[in-house]
Amino acid sequence: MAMAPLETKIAAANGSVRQRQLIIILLVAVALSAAPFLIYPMFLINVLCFALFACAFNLVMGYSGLLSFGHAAFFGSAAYISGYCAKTMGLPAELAILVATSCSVVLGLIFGWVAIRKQGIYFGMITLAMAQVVYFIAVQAPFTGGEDGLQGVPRKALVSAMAPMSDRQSYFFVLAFFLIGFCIIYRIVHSPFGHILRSIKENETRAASLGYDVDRIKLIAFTLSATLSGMAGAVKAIGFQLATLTDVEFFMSGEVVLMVLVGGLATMTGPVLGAAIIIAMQYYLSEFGIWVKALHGMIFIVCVMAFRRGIVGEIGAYLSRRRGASD
Amino acid sequence: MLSEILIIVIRGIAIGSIFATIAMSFNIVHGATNIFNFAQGNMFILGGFAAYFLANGAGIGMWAMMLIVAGLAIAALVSFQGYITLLPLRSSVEQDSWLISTVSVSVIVGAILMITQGPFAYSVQSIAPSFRIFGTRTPGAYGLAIFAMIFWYVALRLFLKHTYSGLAISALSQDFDAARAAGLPVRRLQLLAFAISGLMVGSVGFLVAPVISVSPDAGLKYVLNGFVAAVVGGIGSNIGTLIGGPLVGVVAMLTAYKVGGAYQDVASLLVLVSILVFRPQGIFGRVTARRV
Repeated sequence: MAMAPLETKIAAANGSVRQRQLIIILLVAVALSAAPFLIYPMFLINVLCFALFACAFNLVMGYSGLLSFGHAAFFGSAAYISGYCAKTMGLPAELAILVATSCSVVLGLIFGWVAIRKQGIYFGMITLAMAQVVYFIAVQAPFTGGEDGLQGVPRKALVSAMAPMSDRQSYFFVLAFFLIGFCIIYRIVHSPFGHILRSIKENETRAASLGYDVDRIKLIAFTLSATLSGMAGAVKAIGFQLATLTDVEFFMSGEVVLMVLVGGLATMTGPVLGAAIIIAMQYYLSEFGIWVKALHGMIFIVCVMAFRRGIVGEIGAYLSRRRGASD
Repeated sequence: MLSEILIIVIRGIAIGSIFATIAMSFNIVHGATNIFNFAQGNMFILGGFAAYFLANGAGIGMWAMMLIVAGLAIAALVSFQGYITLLPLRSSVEQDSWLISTVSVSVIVGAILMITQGPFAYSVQSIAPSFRIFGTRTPGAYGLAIFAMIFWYVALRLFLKHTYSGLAISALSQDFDAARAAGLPVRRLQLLAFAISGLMVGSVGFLVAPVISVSPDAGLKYVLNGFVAAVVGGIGSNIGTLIGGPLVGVVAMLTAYKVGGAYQDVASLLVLVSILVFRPQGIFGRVTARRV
């Protein structure tokens, strides 16, 4: 009989948690649909694309502990491919994104196959080296438009019946892809597979001794992350109507590391916040030009030295400390 | 035809010996700290800038003095960087933070060079006269590059085998915990390793400035090629870099000659990938059993 109150208590607690989650989801939905009427839509499109990119990158860096310095290769190559499909071949935007994302799967498998066999430094350097090859191809290949890149990519999608979308419409188009990607990442992280990933990050030797095929799991995670990064790049080429060399550059790979670090490693919302902050910084500080790059470097060092958990991570740690104190 | 190939091979070896010296500078830091200093390429380029600003067109005495000044200054800079990089490692469990801090140092140095010097390549006059090989003039700095590689190899070998600090650094690279338990001043030795690596790349950058492109964004190329040279030779093996560096240089030069200059870097990256696939431990590397 003594069990009954406890059970109802748990049920009530679960109910209130679910209720709170529902309220949060509703608030977010309202904010997301009101946003393009309050803020410049192109800026939001930029933030959403990079937020998806950063979330996908977090899958390898935050959850699997693999620091890749070559993720710009997936982002940039997919941007080029989807831009090319939409502009030159006249495919609808959805198809172009699909084609580009499937190319990223292949690229991710190749990168992963070579790089996964090495750890730490080597992993980072090898991904960087391979990304440089992709960059080189982007510079040399005839269909990428060289220094100009692909400009004026049409925003004709099946959902808009092949009519060009306005900035606001494209925002919702991009938002849809962002939400799909975000849900996929959420599912991956909270699945048994996600738990194995974290166990590998914590202690790889132990995970291997428990019988998990560590290399294969890492390869799957890396490929998933590459695929979603590719999707982010492909959507960006459509939403922003532009695919250029900056998307494949080494600096882009560094920037996504910064977004994840600032927002919070291995948190769901951290990369989104980090991307918003970094993009806003670029947007509003663009008159300072190259100084922004130096500033990025400084923020990096501060993050590594003093601010290890990132914004979302620090808030989470603060909340759990308070909860611990009040209990 | 044959002499053309020979000239290319000689130039390749010279360029490769730059990569080899950078690879050796990676090795000493990596041995002492397990850190791979990503900013090393920028420090190398800084050496080139030092040559441009301090000793362009100077006499031999002034030049030699400035070489020492530049080398020491960059050594100080790199050891400061090492100090910052090592700070969070003292307490933290996450031992990968150095990767981000060295990359950010390289971004900062690159950005500052870009701000102050603009995105141009600077040309530096050569101090060493050019010499003739098979009737073709070869810039003297190529000779200096090969000389610098051999000099640093011998110097490092003597240092690591015959001085107390050198032996202590070797001990660190063999068994970090045992070395710490034996009471070695670990932090000081690690900073010393950083300083030596800075001295190496700074002086080499200064020496070969006439034949490299001294521009703010050139650092990445030398980091990557130096890394490839280190991997080909086997990480930690200095004698391996003597083979790995020139090999990468010759492949890059031959590619430039046969296919086109733009393909140089791709060639060395292909070397990297094929080594990793077929002989991951490098030519001279030791195989370590995987612990499970």
